[in-house]
Amino acid sequence: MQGNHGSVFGWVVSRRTTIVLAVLLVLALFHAVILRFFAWPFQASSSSTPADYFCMHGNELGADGFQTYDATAEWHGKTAGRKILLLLPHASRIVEVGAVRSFEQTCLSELRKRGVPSADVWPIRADALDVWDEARALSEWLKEHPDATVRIGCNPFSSGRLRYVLSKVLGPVDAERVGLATLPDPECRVESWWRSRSGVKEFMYGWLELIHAWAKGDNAHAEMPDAATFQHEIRAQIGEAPR
Amino acid sequence: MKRAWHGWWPIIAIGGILMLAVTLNPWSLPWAARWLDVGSPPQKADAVVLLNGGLNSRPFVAAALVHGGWAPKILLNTVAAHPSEISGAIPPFFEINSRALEYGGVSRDCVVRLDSAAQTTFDEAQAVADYLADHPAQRLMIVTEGPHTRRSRWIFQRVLADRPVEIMMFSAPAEGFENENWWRSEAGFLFVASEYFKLFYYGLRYGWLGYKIVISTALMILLRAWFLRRRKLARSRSAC
Repeated sequence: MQGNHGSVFGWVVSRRTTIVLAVLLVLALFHAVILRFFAWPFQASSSSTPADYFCMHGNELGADGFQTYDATAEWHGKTAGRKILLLLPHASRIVEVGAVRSFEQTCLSELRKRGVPSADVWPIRADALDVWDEARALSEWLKEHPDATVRIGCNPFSSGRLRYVLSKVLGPVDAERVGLATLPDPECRVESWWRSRSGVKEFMYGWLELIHAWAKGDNAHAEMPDAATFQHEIRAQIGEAPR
Repeated sequence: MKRAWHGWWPIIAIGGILMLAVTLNPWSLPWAARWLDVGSPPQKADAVVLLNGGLNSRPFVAAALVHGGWAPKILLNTVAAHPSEISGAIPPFFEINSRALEYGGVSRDCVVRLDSAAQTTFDEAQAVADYLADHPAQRLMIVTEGPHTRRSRWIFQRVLADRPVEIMMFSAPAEGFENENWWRSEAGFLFVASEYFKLFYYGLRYGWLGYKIVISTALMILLRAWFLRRRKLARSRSAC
């Protein structure tokens, strides 16, 4: 038992307590390094290899990534002849009922505002419900364009899952032709994710997406009835209130 | 000391594996979502509170409740502007919800706009509480997806604790998954798993969970100290 004790600042404490105190001290001093380490799947920088096409993906609420329209227009303007690909999602109910424009209409309009002609924007009819559908549609497109190289704009916290899905669906050869352009929100950066509420949320969702992709593989999504069918079903389920 | 720990490790490991097997079993996984879902059948209410989010489901359900005569109006918060909204790429969420409600047969006159620029469910509950100060109600029906109902109910009951209003939850179908198969789709996995994290965070931040953890830790330390002292006394007695 004698050897099991040590001295810290003159106090006699057990070896285990000393280790716990040391661990706490290391955590306090190096918490930023440790927390940054846990964001390793999202830290890969944007691909530096040149690409002929910039690919935008997202949903009816906008393209994935921060200020993606600005970044895409800037990329397009750098060299003549560059094209933009749009991976089109499945038309959602709020698009169907006219509450928002479709992803294609929004992207075309926003890019036009920034000087990108619509002729340089090529939609890919992916009818995607998730990133696996998007990867499959891109895979088909890459087969039809064997010399093309593509860069996909994305939120850094989604980049880990996106890279994993692309490598699974495209295979090693085609995956080499696709790079990622991470478009970070300055208010929730990967390097300091724990400092803001949105950063913590993005970090949590980023990891959950990645864990699901690793554990489950290809996504299984349920049927998505259209707006009219959904409304009919919901009304039947809810029924009328008693008078 | 070391021998004692060596004796405990297999029990802890087997217990952990058993717990994981039970928790991650397809038979038990639906319970994780069912526990979160505290929705009830529709009942007559003074207003429906349509929580922001789930744009492809919640407004359609809220509209069906008003259309069915369960409530005469809908309380709807504005939310802090989304980056796409600031750039003008998409309309404000209030507008998107209102258009979906119109599709469901609810006129704009039946929608009460609460200008809260909410960022969280807590903000939305606070705005409803402020509204109730001038417009008292006896019953509110909150519409959100099933796995979000437990946390929402907890928030509304907490914020409206000093008001004589009954809170009822109505579960809208989630987009792309059901309580019985949530782990199969990414949307379901994200929704249910993140709800548990959020419940834990809300418990720490706004509830008693933080105090409970501190008290339990202190109790465990005291118990351990008492146990060590007893063993030391027993040893010294046996040495004598």
